[in-house]
Amino acid sequence: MKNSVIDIRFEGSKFYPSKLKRKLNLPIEVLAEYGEISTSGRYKGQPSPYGMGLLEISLLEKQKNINELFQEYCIKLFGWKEDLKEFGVDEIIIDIANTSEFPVDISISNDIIHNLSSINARVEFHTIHTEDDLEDNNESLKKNTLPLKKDKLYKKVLSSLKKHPSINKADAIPYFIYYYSTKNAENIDEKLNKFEDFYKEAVKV
Amino acid sequence: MLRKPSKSNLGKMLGVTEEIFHKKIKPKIKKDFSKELNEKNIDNPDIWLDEDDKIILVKPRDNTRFIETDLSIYSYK
Repeated sequence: MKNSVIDIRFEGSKFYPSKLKRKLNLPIEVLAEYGEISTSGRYKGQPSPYGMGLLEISLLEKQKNINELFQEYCIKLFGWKEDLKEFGVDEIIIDIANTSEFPVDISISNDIIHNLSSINARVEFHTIHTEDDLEDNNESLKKNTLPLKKDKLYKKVLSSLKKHPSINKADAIPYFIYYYSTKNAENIDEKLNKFEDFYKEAVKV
Repeated sequence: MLRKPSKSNLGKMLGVTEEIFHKKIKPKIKKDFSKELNEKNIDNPDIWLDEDDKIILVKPRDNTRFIETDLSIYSYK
C-alpha cells in the first residue's frame, strides 16, 4: 500500500450499497447487500440483516495526498447527505491507514467535525504493518543492542508481556525498538528499568 | 488456550493481507456482532481466538469485557 490511504465505509441496517453505487456513479465495493444471501460470517446462507459498502478513495485519486483527500471527501459526503439517507446509510466510517514507518499528518477543522457529526460519520485511524516489519525490527535489534546483553533484554520484554497480556509481542516490539534505537545502549541495567516505565506508558496509550 | 493473533496472522489464516482483513473482514465481524458489542459498550474490539479458532471479541485493554461468538474465524473465509 501507499504510505497512507483513506477509505470510506458506508453501513446501514437497511442499506443497499449497489443502489448507492449506481446513484453516485462511484466504484463502491459491495461488502454486504441488505436482504441478499450472505456468503460468509454469522449470517452465512441467510439474508444479510445489514448493508455495507467500501469506497477506496485513495485508489480513485492517486495524485492527491491524504489531507487533500480527507478535506475533499468530507465536503462531498455532506453533499451526498440526502442520497445516503435515501439508500439506507446510517453510519459512515472514514478509515485512515498508514504504514508503520510513516505517521499520518492530518488536520480536521471545526466545520468538518460539525458536518461529519451531522451525517453520523466518524474517523478511525490505524496502522498497517508491512510484511517486512518484523524482519526489519529484528534487524534493528541486532544493530541497536549490545549482543552480550541480548538475552537479558528479551527476558525483560517477556516478563513485561506477562504482566501486561493485553499487548502482544508484535505490538511490544516497535516500542522496544524505538526505545533502544534512540538511546545509547550503555548502562544496560538502567536502560532496562527505564524500559519498564516506558512499557507501562505504552500500555496506557 | 486463548490467544490474540496479530491482524497480519488473522489475514494469513483467511488467505488475505492484513490490509484486506482490516478493510473488508473485520468490519463484517464487528457488524455481525454489533448488537452484542453495543450492549457491552465495546467500540473497536480486539479479535482473540480460542483453541477451536472461534472468535472472542475483547474490549481493548480491558480483558474482563468480552463476547464469545461461538463462530470460527474460518467462517469469514
